[in-house]
Amino acid sequence: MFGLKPDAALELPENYYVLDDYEKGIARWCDGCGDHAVLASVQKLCREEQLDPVKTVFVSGIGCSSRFPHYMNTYGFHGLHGRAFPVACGIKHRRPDLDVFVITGDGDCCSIGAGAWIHAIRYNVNLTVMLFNNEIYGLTKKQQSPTSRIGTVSNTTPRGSILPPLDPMQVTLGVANASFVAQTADWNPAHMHATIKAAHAHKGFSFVHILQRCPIFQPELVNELTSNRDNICYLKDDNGITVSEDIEKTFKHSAPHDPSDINGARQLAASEEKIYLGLFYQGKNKENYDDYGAHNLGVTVEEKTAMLNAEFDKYGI
Amino acid sequence: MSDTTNIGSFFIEDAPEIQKVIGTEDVPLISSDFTSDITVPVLREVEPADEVEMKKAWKSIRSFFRNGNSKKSIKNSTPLLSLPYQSDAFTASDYPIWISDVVGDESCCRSLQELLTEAVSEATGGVESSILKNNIARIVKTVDESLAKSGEVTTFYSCILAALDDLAKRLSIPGDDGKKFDKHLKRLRKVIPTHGILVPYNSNAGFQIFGAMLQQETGRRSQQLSDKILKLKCKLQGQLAIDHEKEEQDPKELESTLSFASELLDFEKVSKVLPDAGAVQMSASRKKRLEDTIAKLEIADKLLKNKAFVFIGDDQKTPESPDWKLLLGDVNIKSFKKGAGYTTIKKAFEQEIEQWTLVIVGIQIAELELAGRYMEDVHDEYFESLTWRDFSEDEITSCPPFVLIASEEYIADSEMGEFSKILSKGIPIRSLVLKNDIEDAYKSNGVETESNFSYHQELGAFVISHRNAFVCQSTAIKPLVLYNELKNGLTVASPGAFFLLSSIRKKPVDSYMWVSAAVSGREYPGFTFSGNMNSHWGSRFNIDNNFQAENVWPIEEVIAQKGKEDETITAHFTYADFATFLPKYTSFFQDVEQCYWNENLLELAQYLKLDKEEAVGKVPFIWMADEKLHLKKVAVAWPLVLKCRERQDFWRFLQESSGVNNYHVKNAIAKAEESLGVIAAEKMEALKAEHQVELQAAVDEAAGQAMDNLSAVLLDMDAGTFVPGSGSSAPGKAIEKPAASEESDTPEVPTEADSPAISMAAEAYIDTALCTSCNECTNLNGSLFNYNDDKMAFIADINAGTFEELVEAAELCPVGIIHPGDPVNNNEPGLDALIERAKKFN
Repeated sequence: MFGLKPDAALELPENYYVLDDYEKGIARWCDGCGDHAVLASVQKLCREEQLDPVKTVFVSGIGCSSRFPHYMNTYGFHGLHGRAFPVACGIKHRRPDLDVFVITGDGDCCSIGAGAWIHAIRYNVNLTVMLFNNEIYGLTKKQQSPTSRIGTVSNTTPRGSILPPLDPMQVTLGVANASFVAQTADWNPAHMHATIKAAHAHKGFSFVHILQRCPIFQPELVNELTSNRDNICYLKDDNGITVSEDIEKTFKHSAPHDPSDINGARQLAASEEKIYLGLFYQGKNKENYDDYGAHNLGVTVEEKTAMLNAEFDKYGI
Repeated sequence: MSDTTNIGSFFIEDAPEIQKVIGTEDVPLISSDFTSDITVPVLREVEPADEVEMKKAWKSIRSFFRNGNSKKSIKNSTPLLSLPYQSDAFTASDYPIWISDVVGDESCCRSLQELLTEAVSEATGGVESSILKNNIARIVKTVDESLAKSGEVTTFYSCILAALDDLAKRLSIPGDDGKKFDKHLKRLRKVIPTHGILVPYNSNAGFQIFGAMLQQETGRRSQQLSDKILKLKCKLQGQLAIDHEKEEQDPKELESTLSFASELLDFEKVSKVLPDAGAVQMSASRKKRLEDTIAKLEIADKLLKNKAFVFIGDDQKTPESPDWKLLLGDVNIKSFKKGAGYTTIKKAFEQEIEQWTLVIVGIQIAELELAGRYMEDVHDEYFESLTWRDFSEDEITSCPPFVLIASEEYIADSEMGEFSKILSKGIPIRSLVLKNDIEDAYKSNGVETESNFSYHQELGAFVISHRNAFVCQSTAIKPLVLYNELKNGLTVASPGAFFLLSSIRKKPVDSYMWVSAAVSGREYPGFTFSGNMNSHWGSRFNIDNNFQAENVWPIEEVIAQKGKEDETITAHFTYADFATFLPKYTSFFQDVEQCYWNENLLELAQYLKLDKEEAVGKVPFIWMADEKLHLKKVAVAWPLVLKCRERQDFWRFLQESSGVNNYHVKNAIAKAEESLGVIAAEKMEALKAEHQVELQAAVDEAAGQAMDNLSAVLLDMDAGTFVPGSGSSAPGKAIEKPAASEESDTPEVPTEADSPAISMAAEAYIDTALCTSCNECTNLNGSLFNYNDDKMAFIADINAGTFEELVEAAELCPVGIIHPGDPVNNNEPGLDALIERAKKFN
């Protein structure tokens, strides 16, 4: 319309939040741990999106990464091992107005919580999920995790692990109704931030697999990952994760990939050649289970009782 | 899981029945508190009706189309393209605006948003993102709200200070961010102007802008003129004074001026001894002319008191009329009786201009005299017969402007003839012609009269036909554009007419929206026409101040939701869309239920393009949306289609005059294309061949160079250095993009070769953008290393730590982004070993 700007109906929130508003306590992760980078990135995302701290929830399971909710000055639930997803799905079902983030680790998600994980993907509830994968159990001082590489020497595998690792990307891409699957690395904070931001913007189960460093228990792995730039390949697409030109230059290799191509995504995930960073797959307009869970919100207890009684009355003799 | 166990589902199915039981019919079953608001229009999925029903329905639709007798109301619907602006939320227009009340400001009319953005960037030192910058919209909103409460013009400074205090209080930002924010606020308070007024959008906004423009322009002009006159007067008086000095002087008088030394000199004798100065006195006629000229220039002092003359008709004295005295400020306001406007203003103009003629003559004579170019035989006669018609444009516009303010209806009904006379005689009198929505033309009288569909009179086009006048038709929707248009009108010597549409509506559509729709729907298109005999006809027109001036009707794409999918709808904003805001047209719109939509229902903009034969059986519609944002097709009746055609016709007149889709231009282009096509094709072939040859040469050359570079790199390779994103790309790539590889490859080779020669001390730095916020370095030394606003590390103070700490941090940093550089303090113990360790990271 003449003289009217496109962003005309601009609703300004009551408050303006700064980084301090999202920070709580001192993060008790080891110095050099990748978790710090994710925390900083998520706090920045909250500030950028001006998320209301009282309308934001971080749900985690058990593990180093799962201490995350303690350091966010929002609501949080640090609860049951492997059960971050059911709790988060429950919250989102009954409180669709909340922004729900799930923080989980390789043990929490891929081992004890694998069952819940698979179904959460299929439910496609509107959550932002971050899987911190450091390929080791750090909190309990170095035991092998399902994602540990063959030969990983740990307290439970003193002669090196023997089973091939589980790939969270392949699993997620293999489950029906997957809607957003991305991979990033904590040592490229710009790319990680762009990825988490895109995940947050997506409606549905946005799964971000974060390759995360544990410099204490996996120092060699960290060294290899961060120094060998030949292994990493940046997925480039206008609909994918886009970073500034300067950041793009930090990648030695880049490859085109259309995020709507699920078969291509599965091939990338299965590829042993390189680790691809970027958006593997995004499917829009997929079914969201929480859309169905929210239909009778706002019904009071009295009303529910009355409804039940009315229903029972049908069977009265 | 069976359906019966799903409590939710059986609640919904039985909801009406259950509600009967619990008896709370008012309470909605689903609370809207939790469900997110729908913001996208929804296209429902509806099965089309069966053939019999369709036929029946279409019979009634066609009957409506012919007669325009709809009984159904479209009250709660809104045209699709105006949908986003219907909410009560903060509207992003240019309002409120800041208008300077001090003459001499460079830009005296600015939008508050723009003014604040500039001031904030100055206050924050131009940083990309700051809390203050992110909250400019909030400040504007606060000001907007406080202005809406009073609904009146407010002093800028007090209002903005209150808004800033409110912002600081509301945000109450903790910690370091808060301190920084306070500092920025403090600086902002110093940067913003302390004068001026804030004007919200209301029916008077346009007049306010007119008043401000009049004040600024006339103030500036009278200032310039009085400066000029003062200078001329001083110089003339100087000349007279010199002449006076040249008169023979009595030695006695001289003696009296030198009281203390008078006894030392005999002035009688001295005057006899001294040679005669030999000065020739000016002629009596010149002396008289100079004295007359000074007298003429002195008239200006009195005349300059009147900055402008504004004549307002009796018809503007209704209670709804604006308070002109307040709006126009310090100008001479006079009123006139009905029918006597132009005669009154013409008379007053002639009287005033007679006086001004003396002043202008005075200036011209003074300038000639001072340049020593006044020739009595030529100029005496010339100045005797000089009238204002002989004035230059500058001279005319330096006289105070004469403005007549009246409504469009008044001029059309009572003064058309006189209006035309003023225009054709070229008398520089300006008319501010008002049109507003309370005039009869827009009144809802419930009875449709034939006059509703007659052609618009278009007084603007009437003025254009006089060819030498300045015309602008505008609204206050874009205040800065309006300001400049009015200013341009005032700085030309020709007569002018400014047409201004305003609205005093509140509900259901507010005045801003209404006026905006009137412009968008081509009901009141904006244009300027600057009459000037020396220019091309087409160059006199400007229609930029319209919504999508290149199109017949504005066109936009809207994304609607259809089930789970998005559907793009291309919608036009036609005159009919605007007409939905006019109550008198209600019966010409009828909602067509979705089950009856078929190919015979055509969007109005498409329908208007059809021939008579093609249009048979078709019914035009416009896209609308109801309160639930459900999309509707609303049929438009035939009488309104005629009206749309009429508006389209006037708009096409303006478009073609300004060169958009011009008939002659189109023909000329077609002809030129035809004749040039053959030549161009030949040329193209030749160029293609040439290009192919050049391309091959470039590829060959680049491939060779890339191989050279590669071998150079391989021979000279330093295994330890790594340059991110370096151009050491594979030769295969280089061949694909010869230019890029040349750029990135060549400089690298010499730098590596040259590096030993450079012996500058390297500074320590961190690649902050790549920091992972892991606390390694900040825990090592929190003063040396610190986090920025984004929690990413940088070197805060190089002197706060040792080189050893720098090197240690570089070794600890898990992503290797700390570069220790060269030591700052050369006395540190064990430097040699440290420098060796640091090498890896530099």
